[in-house]
Amino acid sequence: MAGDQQRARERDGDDTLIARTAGGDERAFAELIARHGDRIAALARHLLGPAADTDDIVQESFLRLWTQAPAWRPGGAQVSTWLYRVASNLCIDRLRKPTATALDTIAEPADPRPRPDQDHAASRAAMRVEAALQQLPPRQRMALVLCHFEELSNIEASELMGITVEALESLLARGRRTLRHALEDERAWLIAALRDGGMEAGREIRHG
Amino acid sequence: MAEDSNLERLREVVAAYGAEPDRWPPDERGALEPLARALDTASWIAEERELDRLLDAAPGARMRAGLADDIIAAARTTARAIPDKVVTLRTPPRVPHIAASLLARSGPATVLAASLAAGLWLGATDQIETLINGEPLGLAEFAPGFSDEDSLSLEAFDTFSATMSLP
Repeated sequence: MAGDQQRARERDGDDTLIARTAGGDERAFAELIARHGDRIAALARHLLGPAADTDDIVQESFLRLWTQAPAWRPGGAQVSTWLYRVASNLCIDRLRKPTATALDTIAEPADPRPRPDQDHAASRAAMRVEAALQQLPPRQRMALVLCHFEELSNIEASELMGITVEALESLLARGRRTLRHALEDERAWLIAALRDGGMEAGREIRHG
Repeated sequence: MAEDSNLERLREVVAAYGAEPDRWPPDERGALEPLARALDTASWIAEERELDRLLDAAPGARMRAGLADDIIAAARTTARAIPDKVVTLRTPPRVPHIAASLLARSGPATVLAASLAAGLWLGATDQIETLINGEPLGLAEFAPGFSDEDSLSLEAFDTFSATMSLP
């Protein structure tokens, strides 16, 4: 309930900000980036993996928002949903490219960014989970990313993907089953590593 | 009977959304949560809870520091959508030389007059286009010194047309 109220407040705020952005107010545009930028970055990271240029997805998504702001209709699409849709489509375009397809065949893509806790078992476990996520078929991965990581409702996620709620649930269930099987042999050390430290690291980053 | 169908639905919901009730469809939580509590030790719920914990550990991401400034800087040079009710002119195939040269060397008043002249010429040759939702213009090619974002609002065009006696 509190979450619904917060979303309503966010939406009201977004409507005001997009109206000001339409008039060329750069501070309002900056506020929209501050509100939604990290979530778009996380969406891109989860959909494309650690080797992808998530900055590029974030920048392109917000430039499209800037471009379209003057034609924005109040009461229509939510800014967050619109951004998710644009960013998802950009990610899908990347996945369709041959280089992106080749990435899917790599078992454990390395994160190019240095992490202070790189040597920790929890960090390695987190990277292993991410690698398994990248092995999922794109639509299963997208369903999981939208519902689990971005915490969209089933209705929001299904609308964004252009499918029914039933089809979404099918993708989610298949994705989770595939992930569980992929990680089955490593389950013991993964759970132990995450329990001993850093298990919530990813979640803290996501929710800032 | 209802309990059986609830159990079946609980299995579907947990398989799709995981073991945390907060992630379930809100309109189903009330019916399914008590049943899930009663079955809390069931292996299939425990397995999904474990997968939830693994997923929660997957690295997230944040925007690079400074990216917002880069986006705003890029936005300053990015053309924007044209709101409704705007008259825009597509690049015409041919423009009378006199109109183009007039526009290239003109002040605002001359520009407006030249725009009308060009519009009349285009209208006469059936080449004027009124685009309700707007599309990128080729006005720069049509009139040197203008950018492609330049346009003439419908209201301004009507007002201007009304004040002119057309031949």
